[in-house]
Amino acid sequence: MSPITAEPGVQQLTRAEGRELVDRESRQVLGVGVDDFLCRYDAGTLDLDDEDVLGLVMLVPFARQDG
Amino acid sequence: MYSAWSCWCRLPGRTADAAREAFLAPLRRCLSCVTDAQLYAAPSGEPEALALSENPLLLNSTVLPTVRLQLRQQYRLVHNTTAVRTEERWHVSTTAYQYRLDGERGEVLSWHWHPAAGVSYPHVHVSGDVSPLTRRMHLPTGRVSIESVLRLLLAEWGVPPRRDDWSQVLGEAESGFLEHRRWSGHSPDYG
Repeated sequence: MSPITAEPGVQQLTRAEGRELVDRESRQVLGVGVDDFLCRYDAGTLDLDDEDVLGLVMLVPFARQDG
Repeated sequence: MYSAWSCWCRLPGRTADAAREAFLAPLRRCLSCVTDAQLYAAPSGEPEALALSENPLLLNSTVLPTVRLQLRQQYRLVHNTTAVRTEERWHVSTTAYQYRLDGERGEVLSWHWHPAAGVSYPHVHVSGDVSPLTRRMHLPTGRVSIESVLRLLLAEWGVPPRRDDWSQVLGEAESGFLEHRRWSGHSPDYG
């Protein structure tokens, strides 16, 4: 992790770190890993009225960063 | 999760990195009013995203024994090729947010705006025994900022501030947000 602003406390997660973050939460919320979660997200089969699921979806960019 | 029509804007910048910094730095300063937790950022995706390093963030409160806070946003960096001033060539546009407050028994309030995923207008979910409201109702709101949620926690929920100048810090950050935002609300479309 490396700071991206002069303000302490903002950390840029690498793609691997981001995927780890999403994987951890996906297993808690859906009981599946990050790849299965992303497949369900892309298929549009997730219940976005579920607060935990919506929170997980908000993290998708962490798992899909470039590079 | 984003929509072409929908965005709100924080401080602009000369470059994409400058605009991102202008967006994130005030948020971190605002968060320092209640926590020393970090902001995680996913800065090379489309859209980008931010989240708290502690999730949920546990806060003391005089209203509830414990408050659990979750803050998440998605945003895009927008290149304004027609900007006259070079320092306004880039800006950050928020494309979705979820701010969630939980108590001991679970969710209490959740502010959402996720136009690409179902409900197009900003709204709040209220949980608990507040008949006739149900948690599944999407109660319309204007745009809700992270600063306003933090102000609610500090001013009305009795969360102890970590800095004496919290009101000034939140006010300064929010004034920049208000000055540069592109819209303030969106009417529900019940079609």
